[in-house]
Amino acid sequence: MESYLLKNTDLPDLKLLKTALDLGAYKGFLKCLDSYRPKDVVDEIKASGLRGRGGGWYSTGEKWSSLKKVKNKPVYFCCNCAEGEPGSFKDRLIIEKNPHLLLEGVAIASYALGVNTAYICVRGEFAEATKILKKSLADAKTKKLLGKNINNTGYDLQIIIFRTGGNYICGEETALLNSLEGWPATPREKPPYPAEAGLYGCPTIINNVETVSNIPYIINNGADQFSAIGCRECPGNMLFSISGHVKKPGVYEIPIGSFTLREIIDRFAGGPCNGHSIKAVIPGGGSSGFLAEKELDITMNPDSLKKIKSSLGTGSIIVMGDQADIVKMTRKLARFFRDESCKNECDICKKGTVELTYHLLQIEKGEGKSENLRKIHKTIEAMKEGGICAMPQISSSAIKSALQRFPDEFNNKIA
Amino acid sequence: MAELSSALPKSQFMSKINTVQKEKINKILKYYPDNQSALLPILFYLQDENRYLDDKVLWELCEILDMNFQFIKDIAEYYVMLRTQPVGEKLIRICTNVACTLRGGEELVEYIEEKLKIKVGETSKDGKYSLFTAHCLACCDDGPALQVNDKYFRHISRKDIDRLLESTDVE
Repeated sequence: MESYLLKNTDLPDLKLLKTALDLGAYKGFLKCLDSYRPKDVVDEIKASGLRGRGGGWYSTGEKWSSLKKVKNKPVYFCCNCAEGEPGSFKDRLIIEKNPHLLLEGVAIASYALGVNTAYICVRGEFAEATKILKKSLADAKTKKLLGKNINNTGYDLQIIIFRTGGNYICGEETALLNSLEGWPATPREKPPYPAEAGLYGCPTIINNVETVSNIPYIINNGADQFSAIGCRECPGNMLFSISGHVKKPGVYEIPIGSFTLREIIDRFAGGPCNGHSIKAVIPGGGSSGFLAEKELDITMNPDSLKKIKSSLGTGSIIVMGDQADIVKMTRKLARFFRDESCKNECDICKKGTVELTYHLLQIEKGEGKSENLRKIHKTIEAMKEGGICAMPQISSSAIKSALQRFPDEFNNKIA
Repeated sequence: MAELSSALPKSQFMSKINTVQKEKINKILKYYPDNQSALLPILFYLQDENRYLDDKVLWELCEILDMNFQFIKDIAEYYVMLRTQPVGEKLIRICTNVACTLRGGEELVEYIEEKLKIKVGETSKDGKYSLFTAHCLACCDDGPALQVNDKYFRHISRKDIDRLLESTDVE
């Protein structure tokens, strides 16, 4: 099992440009500038089978190919680091521990797409990570690895590090664009997709931090070697953030589709805390909903989880032991969606998440009646219709997954 | 106007955004194609300078950026990381999402509330601490987690909170 995302991240000096260069940073980018046409890079990424790690799992090569260049309009690239999914902490780790890997990935993507201005949008709460990234960017610029006339090739790339306002919805790619333009972070109606009309109405590609960080490995080692890692439908390694009631919470780099959820929890995170067994697991971050213990033998790839109406999402595994209060955790999730709904666009999202949180709180407090449960089901049905973005669907299906798998936990609290 | 100026101390009429800050704002503006795109970075900068975004600062800013006051104010109120109300010297942001709750984060909120004699969203009487909850600080492996003025504190216990609230240094 070869690690290439977390490789050398145990070295505190990896942040320093000199150390990073000694360990091969920017080699892939210079190789591209030297001997690849932008189109060759796009073809290589397409051939690698890389899929987006931000939760959507869309083919990165396809996304890049869908870029519709317009005469006299610039192309923009945005790296999405508005990481706010409950249970996810891998993007912050990449920035803090391996900033030059991310910068190299952004540089290669920008070169491939014909971009001269790229944005890295870092969640507002990540003050430390932002500082590290800014320093790394400045260092790389002084060595002419980024900035104007990179390595005397004539290629210019300005990277701007932008702090988002912190709201979860900034992670939705069109909301992120609105935020970059100085509007409230509300999702845009699609189509047009950003690849056609994104930032300032110009063609824009948005990729997640982890997705981008896979790119240098693909360029250095070739698409074939990359696609041999993990599973055929979804090659490569993935950073799994594991938290909750396990012995060794943390971020683990694991080939996609090579292990079951149970194996990942036991082999990597040390299994459930002493004296406890597992009651429920959130497999891919808050919006993927709950799985019961008997479902843990599922292979961790995006397609198998989709089949059971869950999602690999951002690979954020939250383990709940037998001591966990499922009703409370469900209410916490509902409250999260309530507070993080953009509140500007769709009534169903704004009102639905308020309703869900209210009725779940009644049940949690022991003041709930079957009427509350009935209203929750009714709201979930109404939210299925959806809105401009996926928020109404993911939030309602996450709550539904808990009700379906743990009906007794809810019924027992109802008078 | 004459009446008003005599009723208010002189400092009220002094500029809230000084020359150095104006220079910095101009520097930020250079990175963005229009003023509105630079708004969020500028608001972050002014908040770092003043701890919160006072109406007077925002009024001056709308002159500098040639933008509508209410628009700027709405943006400042929309984003969770921006504040339009005064806060204490130390801003505590404690995670109360699923992963930190599983590790006892919620009880710690109550503990801090008791110790500071304030509720979430309030500032202690001495103006030293403000308490807010946060939705997932992306520190789930080290929960319960909190931030004090953007700095992470991990695996927090009641004892850690005692120590945090006793220390006098301000980040």
